[in-house]
Amino acid sequence: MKDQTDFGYEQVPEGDKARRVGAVFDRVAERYDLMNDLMSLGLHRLWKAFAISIARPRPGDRILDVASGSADLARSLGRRVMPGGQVWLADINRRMLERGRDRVIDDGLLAPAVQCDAERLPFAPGYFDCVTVAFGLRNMTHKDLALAEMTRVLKPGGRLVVLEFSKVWKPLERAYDFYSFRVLPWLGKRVAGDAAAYRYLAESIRLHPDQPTLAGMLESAGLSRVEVFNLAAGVVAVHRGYRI
Amino acid sequence: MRKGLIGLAALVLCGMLATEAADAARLGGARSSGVQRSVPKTPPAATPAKPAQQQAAPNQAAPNQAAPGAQPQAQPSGLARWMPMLGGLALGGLLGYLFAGNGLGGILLLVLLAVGAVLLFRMFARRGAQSPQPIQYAGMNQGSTVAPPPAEAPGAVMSSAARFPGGFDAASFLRGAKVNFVKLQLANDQGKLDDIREFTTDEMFEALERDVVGRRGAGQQTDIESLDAQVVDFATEGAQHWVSVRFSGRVREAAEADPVDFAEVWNLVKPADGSSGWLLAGIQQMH
Repeated sequence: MKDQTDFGYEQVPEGDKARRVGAVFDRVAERYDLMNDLMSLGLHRLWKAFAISIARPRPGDRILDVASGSADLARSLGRRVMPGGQVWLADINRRMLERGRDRVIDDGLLAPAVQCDAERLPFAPGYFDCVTVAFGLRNMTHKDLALAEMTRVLKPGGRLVVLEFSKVWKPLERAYDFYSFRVLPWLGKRVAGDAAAYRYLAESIRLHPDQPTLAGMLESAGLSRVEVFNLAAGVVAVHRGYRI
Repeated sequence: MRKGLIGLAALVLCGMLATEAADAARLGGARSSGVQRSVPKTPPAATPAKPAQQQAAPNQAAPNQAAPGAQPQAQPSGLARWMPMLGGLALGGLLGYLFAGNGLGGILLLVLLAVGAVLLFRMFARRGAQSPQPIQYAGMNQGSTVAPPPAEAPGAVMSSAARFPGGFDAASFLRGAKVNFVKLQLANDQGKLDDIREFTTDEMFEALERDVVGRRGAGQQTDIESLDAQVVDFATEGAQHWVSVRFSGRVREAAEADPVDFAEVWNLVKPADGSSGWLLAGIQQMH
C-alpha cells in the first residue's frame, strides 16, 4: 500500500505517523533526558559532543538544529557561534520545544525557537551555514523530503550533520536486540511509565536505514562529500554532507 | 632582552586593562543604580525546579545561611555527576572486550548493563524526587522560605499567585525577564542605546547611557554561562506595579576573564493602567 508508513513495526496511514510520534514525545517529555542517560549509560553525551565537533561550528555561523528537543546540541552550538552567530531551535513537538527553549535561556543564550515540520521548513533557501539533526530523522514520515528541505536551507558550502541510531556491528546484534526489546521497554515502564513509547524507539531504530543507505539518501538530497562516522560499533552513526 | 621586557610589560598592562574592563562590563557595571527597593538580601531557599540541570548549579549563597530547617538542596555529588560518563566508559570497555571475540561476552554484557541501569535508575530517582519544587515567592511569605513538600505544592503556588494581579503568569514572566536580561546585556555590549531605551525608565536609561558613552563606543563581550531568575517581591504602589526579580548565575565579563558568580535584583515597574510594559527602573547588587 502506497500511503502506509512505518510506526515502529506497525503500519499506519502516512497522515498518522507525525501525530503518533508526537504522542510518544508528549508522554515521555518530562523524563526524556533522564531516559537518554539511562538507556545509553550516558554515552549519548559523548555522541552529541562528537556530532558537534563534526559540525565544526564557528563564530558568526547561523545554525539550525532540527528536532531540537531538549536542546542538548543547540546549547553547546550556541556558545561556539558567539560572537555574532545564531542557533535556531526547530521541533514539531511543542512540549519538547518548550523544554529546549527554557534550557537555552537558563544557559544565558538567546535562540529563536520555531515549532515546525522538518519536511516543510519555514526558512528561505541558503539561510544556514549548518543544519544539525540528532536522533530526529528516524521519526520523520518522509525522510527524503526532510533531507531535501534541510539541504535547501543550507548555503552553498554549508553542511548537514545527522546523528542517528544505525546498524550495529554484526557480532553484537543479538545482545543489542535483547537490550532493545527487553531492557529498554522495561526501563521505559519503570522510569517514564511508558513501555510502549520505548518499544517504539527500539522498533524504529531497526527500521531506520543503515549507514550506506542513509549516505545514499544524503546524496540523493543533493549533498556532496558525504562521510559516515560510526560510534559504539555502529549503534549510532554521524553522517555529514556538504551542499556544494 | 629589552624586547622581552617590553613584551612582558605590555602583557602585564593588557592584563591590568582587562581586569579593569571586567570590573564594569555587564549592564549597570555590576554596581547598584536607579531605584533601590527593600528586598531580602539572602536568596530564597527554594529555587525554581530545574530537573534536567546536570552541572552543579553555582552556589549562590553559603549553604549555612539557609533558613533553619531548610531541606538540603539536591547537589549532585562529584561521583553522581560522573556516573553517566563512567557507565559509558564501562560499556566502551565491554565492547572492546567483545571485539576480542569472547563468546561469554554477550551474557556478561547484559548482566553488567542491567546492573548499571539499576544503579543509574536509583541515582536519578533519588534526584528526581527532590527536584520538582514549585517557584516560591519568598518576598511574599516572609519567614517561610523552606520548600514545601511536593504534595503541598499546588496549593502553595496558588496562594502566592493569588496576590499577583489577574493575568500575571509568573513562569512566563520569568522566562521573558531572562530573555530581556540577555538582550540588554547584548545591547549594552554593542552600545545599542535604542534597544536599552526600549526596556528602561528615563532615569535608568540616563545612568546606563553614561556607561556606554563612557566606553566611547568600544565593544565588549559579556558571556552569561548560566542564568536563574526568581520573583522576590511584588507590590502595587499608587498607579504602579513593582516587581523585583533576582537574577543570579555565572557571567564572564571579558574574553580572557574567569566566569564569576553574580546576583542582582532588577526592580521593574509598570503603570497599572497598562500603558507600557515592564521597564527596568533600578539594579541592586546582592553580593
